[in-house]
Amino acid sequence: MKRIILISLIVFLQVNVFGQLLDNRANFQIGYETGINLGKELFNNQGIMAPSFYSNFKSLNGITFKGILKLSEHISTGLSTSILYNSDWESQHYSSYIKSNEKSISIKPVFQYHTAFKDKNIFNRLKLYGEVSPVIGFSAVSLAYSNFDVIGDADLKSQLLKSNNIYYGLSLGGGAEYKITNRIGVFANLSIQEHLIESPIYIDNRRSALTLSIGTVLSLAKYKRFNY
Amino acid sequence: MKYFYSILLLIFFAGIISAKGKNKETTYTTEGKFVYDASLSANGKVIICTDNTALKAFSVTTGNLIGSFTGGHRSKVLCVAQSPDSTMVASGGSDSTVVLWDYLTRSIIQRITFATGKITSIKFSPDNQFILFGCSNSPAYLYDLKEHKKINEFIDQKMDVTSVAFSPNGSLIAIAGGDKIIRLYNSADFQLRTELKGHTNWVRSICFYNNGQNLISCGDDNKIIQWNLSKGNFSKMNTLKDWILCVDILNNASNKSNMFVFGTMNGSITIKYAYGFYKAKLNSPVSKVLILPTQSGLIEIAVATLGSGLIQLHAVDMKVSD
Repeated sequence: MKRIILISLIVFLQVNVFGQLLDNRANFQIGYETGINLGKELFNNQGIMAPSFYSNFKSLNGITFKGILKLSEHISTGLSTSILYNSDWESQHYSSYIKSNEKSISIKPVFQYHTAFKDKNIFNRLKLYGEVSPVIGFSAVSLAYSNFDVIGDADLKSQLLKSNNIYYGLSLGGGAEYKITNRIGVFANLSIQEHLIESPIYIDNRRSALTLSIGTVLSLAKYKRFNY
Repeated sequence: MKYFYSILLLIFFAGIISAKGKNKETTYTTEGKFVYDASLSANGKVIICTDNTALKAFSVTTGNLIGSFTGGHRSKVLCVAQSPDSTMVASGGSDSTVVLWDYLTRSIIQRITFATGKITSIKFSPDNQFILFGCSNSPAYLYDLKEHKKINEFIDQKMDVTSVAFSPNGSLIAIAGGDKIIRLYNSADFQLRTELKGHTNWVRSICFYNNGQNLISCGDDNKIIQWNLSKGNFSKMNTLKDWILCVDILNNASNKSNMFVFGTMNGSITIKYAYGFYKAKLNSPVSKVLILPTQSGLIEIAVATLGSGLIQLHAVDMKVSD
């Protein structure tokens, strides 16, 4: 069955390379994002070792939005935002952050280098790109159990179960967009992200993640000068 | 899951097959699939279209290639016009050059190279003495073919010129483009007579009709506007679903009814006649539509597309709607 799908896909691509599309000035991506947190089970912060908060989350899911404006044949720029949810904290030897979760929202100015649009053949519909983005984000952490013994002070106890932090970092990625019609297409994007983040309730001061986004591309504005 | 994929694939291919087989059509044999412009001879027997850096002439009745006009342009040709007396052909290209061709020998009479922008639209005056052409960098020029010199430069346009036209008696010049305004000039003194404002986005195509008393225009606001030039007012005729790139008219003086045909960015073609509409959908944007004269009385059109070549369609094969 997989072979049939693959052959069908190749045939479909060949058939449609002659259905010419027009270049677009602005694209909007909306998609589902999933990924894995990179790093070891233990985090080493200047010689202090403790179970890593981020590396041990086994589930990283969310949604992503990206608006891209084409500046030249090969360069586009835009803004991207992701809302991600980290859950399923799991460690072989520790239970420090079990049942914890983290919600984050990030904003990334995107600088993209991509293949040039062609009037015909495969690059009429397909765009391959690489991109770099500085990242700034907000992270809301919620622990199920406190790692500190607090007796009597209920306020302090609840404070130690939650932590809101600003983080910043860098994202490097690449992907592909395939246009089905002049207005709609699909995309897949792979990116690696490195963030600097600090919180009083865990030892990690940075985190890394590899994420995959898939979704729909909407073309919002066409080139007025598409025909000359 | 296996059945789901199978059904999905079946739907996919059914869609492709049905999309390609909707219209019975004759495709003229051009080298490239991108045809930016086409022009019909005054007697309606020859159609000349752009084809990469050349022009191709076809017989309307047989669809056969009559000849090619080559060697005039260094890059793609964007517009073409045939002189009303069928002795000359003019073409403009993205190389900023206008080439004047001898119709019979298909040789170059003259190359006009003073323009700096891409030549986006070109027309002959009804008396065959002038050519009017517009550029992507906003000016339009009137050129005297006998004196071999530029007569006037129209510089009121703020953006790209997309369409130029002479009124049937040659007394008016119309220039339209990206600044949403259609400007009418007196041919005699080149004075701006009026500015027609009604479009809210780029105007793509204009056409005089009813002996120059009316003008029709269409554009990226998806609107078709009919202008009454004697009264100076306008009425919106119709709105389509995408940028309307081209319009053509068949004036029927005997019963005072006109037939209009429009082509859009999403490949739809609409023929508006006295009793309703004919509609067709192609896979590529429609850059030019031409109503072909036929002996049978059946409606036939030639359609230049950006991606599917030059096609001849018969209204009888198209979908009818009220």
